[in-house]
Amino acid sequence: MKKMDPKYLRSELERGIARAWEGLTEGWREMLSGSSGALTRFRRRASKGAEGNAGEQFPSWSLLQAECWETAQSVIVRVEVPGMNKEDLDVSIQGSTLCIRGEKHSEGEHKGRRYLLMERAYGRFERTVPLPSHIDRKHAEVTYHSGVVTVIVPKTETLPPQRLTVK
Amino acid sequence: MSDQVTPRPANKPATERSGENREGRDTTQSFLRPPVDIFEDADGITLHLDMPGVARDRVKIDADRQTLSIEGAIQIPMAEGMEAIYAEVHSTQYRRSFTLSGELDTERVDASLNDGVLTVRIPRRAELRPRKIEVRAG
Repeated sequence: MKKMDPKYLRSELERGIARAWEGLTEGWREMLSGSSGALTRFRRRASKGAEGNAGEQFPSWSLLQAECWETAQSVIVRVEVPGMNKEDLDVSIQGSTLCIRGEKHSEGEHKGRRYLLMERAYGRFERTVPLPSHIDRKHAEVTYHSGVVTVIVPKTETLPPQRLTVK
Repeated sequence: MSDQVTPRPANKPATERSGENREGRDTTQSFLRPPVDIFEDADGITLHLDMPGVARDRVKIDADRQTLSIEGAIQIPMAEGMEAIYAEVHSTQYRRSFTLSGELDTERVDASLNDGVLTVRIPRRAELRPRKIEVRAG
């Protein structure tokens, strides 16, 4: 008889949903570790009418493709971040990790506008790219062009490795 | 093969037909499929496509009565002696196409590219736009 109690049913339902959500986020976490952080989570700001809106509750993900190249003198990192204002981009190097943070603004709610498809992610995001250790981060240069952030960091060590003789 | 983009009356849900995965199925070259936002309003349809690394002169847009095709070539500025530390090998070409409804005026397509985002605007045919009808007195 206890099983027919609506309070019991509702808490069972909530537990089930919580488990399903945990399972979903576990899956995402596995994907994240497998793709070197390329799959980046975009966090939207909570808006007033967000409670009933399923779109706000589900995370939005986008692939911020990154590449790391080197020449004899420098390390070059390119990260695809289309549709940003330069002012909303925050690029920093902490130790030997490049960190690109920002906020991609959506067009906002417009009356009379109806979305048929929404695949692009918007909101706050953060993407980290590991760098080689022999870099001079104080002299890094950052440019943003065609939706790509390019960071050029000079190398500190351009000499060939020192050979040591074994006595 | 292509996505269905048709403005529909507000009470009918929009459906998108898409059997492709991220890489296109062309046999000669694989393509990247740019993510897109599409919305409609009373005057027409607007598409925003993420195509980072594509310059304006490398975008190709074709619109005939029924299909909108968009292509963009990615250019990576390469310095001399540049070697990859890590770089995923991916296609250097974006491509995606959409089926358009007859309500859209494909002769007046407007397109602009800013910061790697291509915005395409297709107005509804003038005679098909919702019109306010004035009720005369008497």
